[in-house]
Amino acid sequence: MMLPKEYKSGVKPIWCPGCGHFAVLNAITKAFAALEQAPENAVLVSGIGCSSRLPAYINSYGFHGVHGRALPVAAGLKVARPDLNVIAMGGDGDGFSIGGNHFLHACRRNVDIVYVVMDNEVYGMTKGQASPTTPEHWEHSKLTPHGPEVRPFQPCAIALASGASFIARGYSGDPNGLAHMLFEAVQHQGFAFIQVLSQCPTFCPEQVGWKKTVHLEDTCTDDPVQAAAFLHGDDGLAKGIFYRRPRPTWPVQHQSTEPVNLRKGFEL
Amino acid sequence: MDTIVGPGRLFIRRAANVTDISQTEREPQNQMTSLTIAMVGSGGAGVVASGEMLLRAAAGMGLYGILRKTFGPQIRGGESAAIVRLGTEVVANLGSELEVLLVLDWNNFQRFADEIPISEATVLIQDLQAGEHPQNLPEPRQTLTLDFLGLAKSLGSSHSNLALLGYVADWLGCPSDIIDSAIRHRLREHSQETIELAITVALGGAQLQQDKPIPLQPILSAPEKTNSIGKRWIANGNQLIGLGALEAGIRFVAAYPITPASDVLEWMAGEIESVGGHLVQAEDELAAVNMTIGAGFGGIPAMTATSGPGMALMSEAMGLAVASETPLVVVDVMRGGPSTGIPTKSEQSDFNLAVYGLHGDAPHVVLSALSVADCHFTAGWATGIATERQTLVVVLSDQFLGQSSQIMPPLANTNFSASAAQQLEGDTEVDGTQRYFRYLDTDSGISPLALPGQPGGMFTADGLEHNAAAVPSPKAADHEQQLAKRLRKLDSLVESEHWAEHSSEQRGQGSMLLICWGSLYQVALEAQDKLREKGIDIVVMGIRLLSPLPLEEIKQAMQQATQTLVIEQNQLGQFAHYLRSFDRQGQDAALPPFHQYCRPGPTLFTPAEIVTQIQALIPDQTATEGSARQ
Ligand SMILES: Cc1ncc(C[n+]2csc(CCOP(=O)(O)OP(=O)(O)O)c2C)c(N)n1
Ligand code: SF4
Ligand SMILES: [Mg+2]
Repeated sequence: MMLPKEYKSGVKPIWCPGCGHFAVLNAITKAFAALEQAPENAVLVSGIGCSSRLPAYINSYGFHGVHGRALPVAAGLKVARPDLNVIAMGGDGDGFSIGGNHFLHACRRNVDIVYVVMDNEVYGMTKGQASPTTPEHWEHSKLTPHGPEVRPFQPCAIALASGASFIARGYSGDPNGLAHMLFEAVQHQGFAFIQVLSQCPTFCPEQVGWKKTVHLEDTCTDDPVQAAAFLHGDDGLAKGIFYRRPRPTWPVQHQSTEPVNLRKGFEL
Repeated sequence: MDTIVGPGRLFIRRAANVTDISQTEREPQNQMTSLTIAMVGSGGAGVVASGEMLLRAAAGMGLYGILRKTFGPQIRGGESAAIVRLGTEVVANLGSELEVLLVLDWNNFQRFADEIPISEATVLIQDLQAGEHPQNLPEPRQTLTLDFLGLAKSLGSSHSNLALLGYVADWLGCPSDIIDSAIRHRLREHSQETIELAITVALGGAQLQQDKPIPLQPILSAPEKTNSIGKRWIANGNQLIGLGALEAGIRFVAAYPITPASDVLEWMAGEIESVGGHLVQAEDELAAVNMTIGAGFGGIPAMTATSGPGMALMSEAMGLAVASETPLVVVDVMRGGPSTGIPTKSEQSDFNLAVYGLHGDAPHVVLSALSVADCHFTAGWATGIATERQTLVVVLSDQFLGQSSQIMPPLANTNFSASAAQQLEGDTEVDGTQRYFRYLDTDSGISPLALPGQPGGMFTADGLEHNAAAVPSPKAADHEQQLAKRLRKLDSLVESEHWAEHSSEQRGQGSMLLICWGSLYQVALEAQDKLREKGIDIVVMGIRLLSPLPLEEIKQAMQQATQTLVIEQNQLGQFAHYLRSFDRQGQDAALPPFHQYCRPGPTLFTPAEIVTQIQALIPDQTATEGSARQ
């Protein structure tokens, strides 16, 4: 049995005071403690962004890759090493913009990994540009002075449409609730997606107000039609596990063929 | 009928001993005869299938050969051609001449006319229905017009390609049981009825040859039948990349389809599960290379295969493999570029991308496969290097090597194996806390590597610059240390005996040196034999280790040679520029000046073309040659 704090690596986070990503870090350590996770058997895989720095802060194996590619690294690792508990993570820019295509295919492929997106509706690391989840009229970036003027991306609805088998939304203001979701997600067989509303007080101070507006919804269903109805009516601030429907994971285990002579086919 | 004289005997160097290229027997040269047959039709007419059957039948006769398939851009339909060069010794390139051209359909022939070297020495055989013979073709030695389609129809089939196959196989003296089994092998997934009809049509074609023979002596006399013939292989370079990789221990492949690399993947997909591995068809090349890196990080030897456009997409993550010191093999089966370029044709134009294509200072290894058979060796070597040195290895093959099938003696095991590189030492206490020094600065530059699952080795691999303990660090001292370490760990590679193949142990003493890489090596070897007939001695160096480049070895060979010519199949002379970049005047590294001959694809280099280039550099001897002839 390890205590949550024993899952910290001791490397000091680079995050700003009040950053929501601290809460995600704490939630992971709590979930690991509850799961009695052997640190050497967990691998945290991330892309690039403030959020993607997280693996170095956990006492486990980690892979900090390039921008947007956490999911393929994690999927390759899990397929090659099914014995490991693989958790991919990163930001909204990393996962929904540059890595958006991988998100669709990871949901569809259903490799047995967890994917945590710390969604602060902004590119924190590059100092405050709009991301795919930024509100349409958010005018605080010099790069998009009129606001993005584009409808925000709907991560949970897209995860559902793409075939994710576990969909949840957590909030950095509720690390215990998030730890519980992580606990469930790790136990879920298949691709488990958690969108975490993780505030960026530096570039989006208005997100501090989330503590008043985020609301718990106890709507978990295994019916995709019900889940879709809920997610399309959702204000984006509901938290909870919305959908859970186990289905066969990938890769499919085939009957192992007889050991073959690889060279046979070349002989005359 | 005219008296027909057979084409001149060709003297071809025993093309790299494919049993073990590193022990190639170089002297004495065996004399052999070869001849080249091209079959042309519209796509769907089955000339490529006929080429495959002809190659197999020739193998059954004890001959060697190579088959090049060429297609137009259309996926189905359009034009296609099979060029089969047969010989009594291993044939590793297509040669320069064409003895027999068989045409079922002239439609669209012009699209690849320049790949089919018709000359006055060529006998042309065309189908009655072939349509209009294109203008401006060289006048063939003789033309025969025969009704292959009519023959097939009279036997209840529409497959004139099979009549063509029987016709040309009979000319080669191929016994009917060998044609029979070649057809059965190719059509093994078809119904019994289809197979029997195919054989009937082919036999009809053979009878036609008896009645209306090809007006040319087939100069190949099949060697005595021995048991070893049955052990020979037919394989293409793409399959052999897969074989070399799996034999050396690759157990994970992720890739995205692209011509001409897809058949590396298709071959591996059929085999990898039987050795306990996995192949993933990824959503794109970005995913493919990153999945491969994930598996490599997990300690499972991993590779991806692609072509230029795909490798361009992979380049960011290739740098990640270098920085995070994750073993990774990337195979690039080169096609014509830039951009989407000419997907179905061969070129050597990704050299710059492979060597320079990564951002930042990212030292890595680039290898080139020197023949169809050498794809096996080079893929094995790449796997060994990547795992042993925890780095990125790029293997450059090309469409010619990848998609040409060759008859060869069975290949020896390469004996390369993915090293079980995991070692835990590096675990040290610093400031009272236990730390694992994943990126420890060692003499060799190779650091301890723990794999997920090993207690006590936890670290976060990082593409961010980091210190020896794998903690991200922007400090100058850490950057310098880690950069130097990643460069240093490749240093000793240049001492490997596998860095190049040489046509002679003398390595250039007193004669001219011809430097090439990739598929040009086999063409250059044949050029060397042709030159020797003319009394000109050259030495050929085929470079397998392109980066890091064994500069001292190359320099020595250049200094011993009278002069040096570098050849390559790209517009810009990419390798020649690279070689020149090491020529720091006034310093130790200064290289002797050299000539370069480079031109783009898609037409293949021929031995005759190289001979011409070399003769142009040796004016005296050419003059003597010329006057001797008069
Ligand atoms: C290929 C590439 N493009 C751009 C960048 C610059 N970049 C670094 S982080 C980032 C956005 C990060 O935003 P997000 O994923 O939302 O993470 P956050 O910092 O908000 O946690 C960008 C654009 C990069 N590192 N690599
Ligand atoms: S910029 Fe925002 S996301 Fe990044 S560390 Fe600071 S608060 Fe967190
Ligand atoms: Mg963000």
